[in-house]
Amino acid sequence: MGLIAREIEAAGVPTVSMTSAWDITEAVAPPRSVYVHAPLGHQTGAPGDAEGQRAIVRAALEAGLAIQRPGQICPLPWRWPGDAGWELRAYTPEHTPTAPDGKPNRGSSPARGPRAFAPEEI
Amino acid sequence: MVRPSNTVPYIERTRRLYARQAPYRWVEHDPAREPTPWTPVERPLAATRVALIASGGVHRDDQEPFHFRNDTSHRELPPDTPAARLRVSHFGYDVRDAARDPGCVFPLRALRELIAEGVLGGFAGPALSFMGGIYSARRVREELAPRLRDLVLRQEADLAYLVPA
Repeated sequence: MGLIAREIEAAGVPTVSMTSAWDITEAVAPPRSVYVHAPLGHQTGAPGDAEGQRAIVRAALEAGLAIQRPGQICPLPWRWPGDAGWELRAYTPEHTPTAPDGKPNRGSSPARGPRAFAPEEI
Repeated sequence: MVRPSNTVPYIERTRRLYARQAPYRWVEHDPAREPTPWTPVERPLAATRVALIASGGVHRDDQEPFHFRNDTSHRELPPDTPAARLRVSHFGYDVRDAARDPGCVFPLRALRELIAEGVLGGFAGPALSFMGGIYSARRVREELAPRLRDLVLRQEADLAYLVPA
């Protein structure tokens, strides 16, 4: 997604990008990023929480437009309301990511846990 | 830019998980050699017409679902598309929450509400949606990014708001 943000910004349209993957965003460096601390698949909030989603999007647009330095990432104070400790499990073998060839990774059990994300910015 | 202490080390975990595959090639931009593009913001949010671009694989129920991988196609969704008509096809993240409530990764409703409140100026055009499981940076660079750029320019958007999944 960062590549697309850079392409659009270079064409003369300002961009604001959401992210929940700080390290990837730092590497790709889109012009303006707003960080939400949540599992992937929830960059604009938790399911069923319309009010929270609106608050995140509003805060993200306001914070994003206030960014002054290219490549800056602004963290939002919002807290993920789901399970604690998800950071330790995210994208680990127990959580069944899909390999780039589309097959489940060795040692993973498709019946258990969510499928982890496949990063986009590659 | 203070990095929170508990961010997930996705790059490190990806390398470990995919150790058996061909090495992952992350796109990295060295700001010294490839300066980050920058266009100044000229309008207040209340006068800004936004183009939503989202990579969570969301499409309307009468649109073709996204393919399994390396699908660089996109779908255009009118801003008034009701949530009940949204579907998700994406192999690369846990889509259960997004399928239940697309607002997790596709904030059409939130943007509509902010426009109704006068916080945001409006939509520049249809939302642009694709499936982010594209393992070829070259195809993103050569096919998808220029196409989305041209659509945003055609919408004469004041701002592009990009939401990955």
